[in-house]
Amino acid sequence: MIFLTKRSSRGGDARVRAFAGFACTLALSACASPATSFDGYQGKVAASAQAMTGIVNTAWLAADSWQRHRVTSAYADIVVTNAERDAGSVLTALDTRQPPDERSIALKDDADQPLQDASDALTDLRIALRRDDHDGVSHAMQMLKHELQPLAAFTQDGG
Amino acid sequence: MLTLGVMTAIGGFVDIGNLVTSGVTGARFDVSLAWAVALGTIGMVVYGEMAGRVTAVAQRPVFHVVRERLGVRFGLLNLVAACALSALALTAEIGGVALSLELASDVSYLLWVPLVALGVWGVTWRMKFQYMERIFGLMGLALLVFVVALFFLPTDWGALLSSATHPSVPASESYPTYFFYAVSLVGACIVPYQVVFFSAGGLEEGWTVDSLAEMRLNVLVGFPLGGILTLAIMACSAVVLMPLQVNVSHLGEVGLPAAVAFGKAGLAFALVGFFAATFAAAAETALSTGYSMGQYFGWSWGKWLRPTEAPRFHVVVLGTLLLGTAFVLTTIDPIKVTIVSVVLGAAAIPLTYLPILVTANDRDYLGEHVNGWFANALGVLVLLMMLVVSLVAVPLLLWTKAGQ
Repeated sequence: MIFLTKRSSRGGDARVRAFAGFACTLALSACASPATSFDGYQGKVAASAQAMTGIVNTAWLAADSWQRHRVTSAYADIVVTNAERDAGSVLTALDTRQPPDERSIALKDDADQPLQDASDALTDLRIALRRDDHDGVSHAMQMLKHELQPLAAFTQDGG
Repeated sequence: MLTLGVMTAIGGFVDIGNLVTSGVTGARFDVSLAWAVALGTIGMVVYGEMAGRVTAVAQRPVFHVVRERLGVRFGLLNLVAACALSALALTAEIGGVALSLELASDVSYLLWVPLVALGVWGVTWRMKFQYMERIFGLMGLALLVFVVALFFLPTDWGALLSSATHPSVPASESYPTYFFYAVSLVGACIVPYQVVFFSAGGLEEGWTVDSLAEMRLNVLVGFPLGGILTLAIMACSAVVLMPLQVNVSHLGEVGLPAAVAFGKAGLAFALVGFFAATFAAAAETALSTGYSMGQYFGWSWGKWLRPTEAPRFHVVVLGTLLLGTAFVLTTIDPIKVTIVSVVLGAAAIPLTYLPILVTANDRDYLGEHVNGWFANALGVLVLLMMLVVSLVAVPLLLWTKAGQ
């Protein structure tokens, strides 16, 4: 009986350890991985610029469709609001990564501006959309288009 | 006659999991993952037909078979896994319905969640099974807008065909990510709750040996229809969103190609389709949990019985709904829940499908209607595929950080 209890207890411990290991792996896999070299950091910047390009294009498509009365205001607002939130996540994710050296810090300084400008343009677009301001939407769309070029430079070679 | 197959296809096959994964994969991989949808559809047809045959001839639903073939303890493990996955899928589906309503109304999806849960409970509690099939099956056909849209968008058919028939991983993507999404698509096509619902639905409709032709028609029309809708959403995403480098992460992006093709009318069809598919799937997942537990424990179950005659079945359905609703209200992202539930579902597939294959070969139950060599060959091949999918699903989920 004692033997059985011991065995059962050991089995329970093993199961708990296995579960804890799985939970830790799952949690760690959700964390942003650090960049340990300039090349690694450059890749992170390129990925951020690429993500921002997709976000900008999504918002631009929704706004363009709204201007041409092809989507409802509600739909365009939701798509643009989500895009604005995603842009914030991209900025936060890059900010939380530690640049490993001086070159990486310089690269971050260069990349920050177009990323932040794109995020600001998305905010302007969302505000104009909610106010049914067609001129404001057109202006914000132009700003978004304008931001695509500097973002493309980072997407291609990380700056 | 075809409504059960169409509803299972709309609510089970094309649910929030398929809407999201097909939108994501189209925008990132073109239609080079069409093979995964084709494999998933074939798998679903093969095992849907077997489960339907076992139901119609032997009057044995899926979890009765699971308990009988896997034994009480292993069957219980399967039941717990299936119910946990159904609850996770239900969370995603309730979120999907609420997101569809948010897109139509501009009111936060979190405010819609309690109303959606109430609506799903009302349908599972009060609405007759046949009405449920007809209403959501028909509404879900609105998703055909994505098929038609392909003819109105600047679709390069040659390029689409080439991408589908010569699959390759785009330069910007890695092999693990590609295979993660392949697993997601297969998992989304053959989620276990789908076959539980189809089989239990057959008993709800009173299938017998005489219903075999009707059952096969449901399988051969319903599930391939789901596959076609999935491929159409993927292709629309590839045509409209991929050139813009859009990384689909919201339901709103999946509907944009319909709006680009047809304006507000196209958008309305897409939203009605999203609503019907996710609402039907929410009802299916909630009911499937009740069906599974009722069948395993030998309770009275089914919508054909009045709630007072099947109280435990209805308590389980209501409890699952409350659990799913509470989970969505934690503000967890329904789209992320979807991707995780689809992949974890893929890992659990063989446990549900193996007992069906074994029973479909049992002459004591099926007599002359046992599997022929062709059904067995396909069944074994599909099962091997499911085994591979189930083994790689979780490692790929962790390795690729859920396809990031």
